Amino acid sequence: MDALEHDTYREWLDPSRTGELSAAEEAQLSRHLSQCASCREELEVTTRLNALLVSDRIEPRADLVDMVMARLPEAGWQARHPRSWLPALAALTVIGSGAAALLGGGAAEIEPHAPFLGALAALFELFKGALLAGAGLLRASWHGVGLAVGNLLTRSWLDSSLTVIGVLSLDLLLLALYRRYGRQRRPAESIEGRWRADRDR
Amino acid sequence: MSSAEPQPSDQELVAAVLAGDQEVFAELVRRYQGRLTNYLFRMLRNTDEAHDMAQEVFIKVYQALDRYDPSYRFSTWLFRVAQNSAIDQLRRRRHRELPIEPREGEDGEPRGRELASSDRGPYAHLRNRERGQAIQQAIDGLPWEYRELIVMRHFGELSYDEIARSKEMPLGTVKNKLFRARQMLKESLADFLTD
Repeated sequence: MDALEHDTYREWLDPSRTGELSAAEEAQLSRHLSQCASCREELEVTTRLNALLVSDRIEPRADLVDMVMARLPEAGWQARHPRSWLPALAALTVIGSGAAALLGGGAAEIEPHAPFLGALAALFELFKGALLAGAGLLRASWHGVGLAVGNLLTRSWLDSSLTVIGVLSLDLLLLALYRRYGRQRRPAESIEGRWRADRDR
Repeated sequence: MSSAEPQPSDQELVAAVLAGDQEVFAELVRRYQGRLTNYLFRMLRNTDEAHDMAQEVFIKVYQALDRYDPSYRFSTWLFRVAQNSAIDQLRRRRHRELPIEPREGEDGEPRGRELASSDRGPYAHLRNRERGQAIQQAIDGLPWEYRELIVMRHFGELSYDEIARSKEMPLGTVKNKLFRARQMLKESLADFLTD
């Protein structure tokens, strides 16, 4: 006798139709079908059901391929494709060459004997200036944070507590507002519910 | 000399499109247009919307083609996009307070519906209509989860493995649920399954 239940073999009937059983399962099913009349009958009904569902398929539009191809937009990935970088690269080279020529010309006036070195020195000064400005801004902002914290610590406990409570209340209010009006993902079940209601109407 | 040329895989076609050969995308559309249209028709229960959405899905997929992971089957990804689009469409319908029913023509058939079946003639047409309505009712009568799986399997023609990946379900669960869903369909459609 077979070790498996009839239902297991019946579950296998449809995947067997599309060759999705392993060789061992296929052999086991075949053996079982040769011995079991009720499962052979089930196979018959399953085949009929499949044919019935196939008979109710619709044809796609004859011009679907043409319509899709005519409507294909410029996809985002095309812009990221290496071949699309070529015009941008060419433009960058032209602009860079122009900038180098201008910079070199200006540097030649400053450093007539070595205009290229003059241009490099000018670029170096430019980056140095930018770095110094950035560092100054960072230092100023940390200084600002330090002042704010220091001010908070030197105030009375009451003032500090009121400030902390105020900040926390504001956070909670924002959270409540987000929960109330924020975008919520509707679960698929709501569609199912709608579907059922519609079906039962 | 009638040896058929081996067909390029979906992954090869995608790679060709990404390499700049846009026309190759037409082959992917040709391969999946029937399955996708039928899947969407069963999900949306409306022929016109299914045809329109099939176009939209192919265009969406094209736009996101560089995000396709070739270690998965193209069909799994395509049908996942289609499923999300269909669910969004059902939600939009719900917001518009329209019934989720096929918009029917005067003859009671969904407009523009052309069956793949070759049955012709007035009697055959009547029989087709009756059969089509019975099938739709039987599918609608299934619980949502079973319905989705039946549509994926019998109209989207996805394999069990593709359905399991797409729904993130164990393969055994998919087999079991589809078996149960088919048992329910057999009961509902018993009149059409006899000789």
